[in-house]
Amino acid sequence: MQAPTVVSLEAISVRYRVPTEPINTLKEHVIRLFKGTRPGYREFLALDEVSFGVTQGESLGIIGRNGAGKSTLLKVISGIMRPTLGRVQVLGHVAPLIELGAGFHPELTGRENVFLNGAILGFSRAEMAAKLDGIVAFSELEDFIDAPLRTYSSGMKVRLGFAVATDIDPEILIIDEVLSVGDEAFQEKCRQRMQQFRTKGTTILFVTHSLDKLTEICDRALWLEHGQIRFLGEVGEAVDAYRQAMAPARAQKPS
Amino acid sequence: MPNDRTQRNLALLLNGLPGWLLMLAGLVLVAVSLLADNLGLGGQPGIVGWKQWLGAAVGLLAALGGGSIVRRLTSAQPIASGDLADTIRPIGTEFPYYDSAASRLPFVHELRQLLRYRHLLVNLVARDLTVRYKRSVLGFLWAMINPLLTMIVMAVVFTQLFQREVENYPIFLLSGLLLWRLFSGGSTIAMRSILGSAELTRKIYVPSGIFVAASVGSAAVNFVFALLPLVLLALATGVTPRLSWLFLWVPAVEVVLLTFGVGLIVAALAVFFADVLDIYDVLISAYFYFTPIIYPATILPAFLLTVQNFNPMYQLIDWFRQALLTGALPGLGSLALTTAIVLVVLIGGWSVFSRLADQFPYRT
Repeated sequence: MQAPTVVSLEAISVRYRVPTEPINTLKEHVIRLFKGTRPGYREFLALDEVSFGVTQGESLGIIGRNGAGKSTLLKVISGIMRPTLGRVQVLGHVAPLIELGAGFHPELTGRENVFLNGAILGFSRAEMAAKLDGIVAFSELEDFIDAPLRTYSSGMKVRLGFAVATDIDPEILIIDEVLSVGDEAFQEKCRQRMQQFRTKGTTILFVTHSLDKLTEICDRALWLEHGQIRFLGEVGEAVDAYRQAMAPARAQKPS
Repeated sequence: MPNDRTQRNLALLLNGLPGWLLMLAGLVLVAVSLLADNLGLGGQPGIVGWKQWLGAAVGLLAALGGGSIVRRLTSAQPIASGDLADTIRPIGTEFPYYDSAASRLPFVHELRQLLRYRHLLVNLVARDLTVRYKRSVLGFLWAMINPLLTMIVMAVVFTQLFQREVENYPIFLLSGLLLWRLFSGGSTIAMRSILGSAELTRKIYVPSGIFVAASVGSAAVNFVFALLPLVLLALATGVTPRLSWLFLWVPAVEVVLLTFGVGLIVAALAVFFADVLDIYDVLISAYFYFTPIIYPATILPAFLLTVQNFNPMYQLIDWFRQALLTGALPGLGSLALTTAIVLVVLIGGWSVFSRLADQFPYRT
C-alpha cells in the first residue's frame, strides 16, 4: 500500500510587491491620495507555480541558492504565509526546527523558556510539564535548567532548543540548517534522533546547503531556482545535477 | 438533505455575526443619541441638538457598515475541499488539517486561532511580567510604586490648582491616571507588538492577534497590581468602602476592551506605515490633555463638556471615580452610549486586524 500524501502543494505562487520607491509612511500615502498618483510597485515572484506532494514518512531535502524561495516555501507549508495563488494542504502537526529557540528569552530560566517555547508550538503547560524531564535529560542541562538563559553558552541554547523541538513529536518536522551544532557527542545524539524520526515515520522537510547531510537524511530532493522547481527526484540524482550546475559558478570564483 | 441546508443556513447566519453585532451597536447608538434627553444624558426635551444628530449619524454609519459586512460575510462561497482530508481519514482524524484554500472568514478564523493559542497568551503575559520585574530589587512592587510616584508628583503640582473644585484630589488623580496608563500603555505596546514579534513569526505560525492580546493583558495585570495602593490610599484619605465598589470592574473591563480595539488598529497600521508609531505618540498625548484626567470636567466650557459625553475614556474614568469616591453609578444613557462606542471600536478593530492579518507575513 502506498503511503498517504501529507503535504500537497498545487500551483503555489507567492508574489511580493516591492515598492519601486521607498514609501511606507502614512503621510506619503495621504499626500499621494490627494495628488491622485498611485505608488509604483514591482512584482517579485518568490514562488512560481510550485506543485509537489510529500508522502507520510518521507524525508524531502530542499536545495537551491540563496533567494531561490526555500524559506518562502517553508513558510507556506508551515501555515505562516498564505500563498498568493494556489492551494496547499498539510495533514498533521508541523514543528519547525528553524533557527532553534526562536521564542527564547534571555531573562527567563531554561525551565520557563521550555514552557514558553512549548506554548509557541501549541502545547499547554501540563503537556509540557510531562515532557520536561525528557527535554532536560536530552539537552544534558540538569544543573542549569533554573538559571537564566542569558548565562547559557550558545551551544547550551542550541541543545535546549533542539530538545524542545524534537521532543514534541510532530508528524511533520521542518529543519532549516541547524544540524551542524553542538559538539561531536551532541551531533551524534542529533543524528540518532533523526534516525528515530525516520523509523517512526515522521515526515521530514530538510533545507540545507550541506549536500552530504542531505544524502544522509533524505530520500528525495527538491531543487528550487528562481521560485520554480528545477529538479525533483531521487536525492543522489538531485545532488549530482545540483553540483554540476554549481560547478561553473564555483570555478569562476577566485580562490 | 434538509438537515444539511439548515446547518448551512445557521452557519451563514453565525458567520455574519460580527456584522450583526456592529449593526446592533450602531442602532443602539442612534437610539441613544436621539433619545438622549429622555435617558438623562442632558439636552433639552423635545429638541434634537447637533451633537445628538452627530451621534445618530455615527450610529447610522456603523449600522450600514454592519449591514455590508453581513452581506459580504454570508455571501462567501465555500470551496469544495477535502482532497487530503479524504485520503487521510483511514489513518485517523486526530491530526490537524490545514488547507490554505479553505473558505474562511478572517473575523471568525482569527478569533478561533486566538482561542486555540490561549496557553501561549498566558505564557506571554507571564513572560512580560517576569522579565519586567525579575531583575529589579523591588520586583512586583514597582508595578504599584511607579504610578504612585507619578501621582505624588502631579498631586503636588496640581493640588493647589484644583483642590477647590475637586474633593480628595490625590485619589481623583490616581484613579484617572491608572485607567489612563492602562489605555495608553497597553495600546502603545500593542502597536509595536506585531513588528516586535516578527523575529518569531517568520519562523513559526502563531496567530498574530495573540501578541496584541498579550500586550493588553500585561497592561491589565499591571493595572490590577496598582489597584492595591489606590485602595490603601483611598482608605487612608478617609474614603469609606461602599457597595458601589462592586461596580469598579465594569469601567476597568471596558477600558481593557477599548484598549484592545484601539491596539489592534494601530498594530495593524504600524505594519504598513512606519510613521504610525510617531503619529500615535502625538495623538495619544493630545487625547490625554483633551480628556479630563488631571483636571476636573467642571472647568470645561459647556461645549467641550457635552463633547465629553462621546469620549469613552472620560466616561469610563468618570464611572470609576464616581463609584470609588461618591458611590454614584452612571446613568443608563451614559452606560449604553459608552458601551456601544467601546463595542464598535472593539469589533471594528478586530475586523480591520483580522482582515489584514494574512498580509503581515508579506510585510514583516
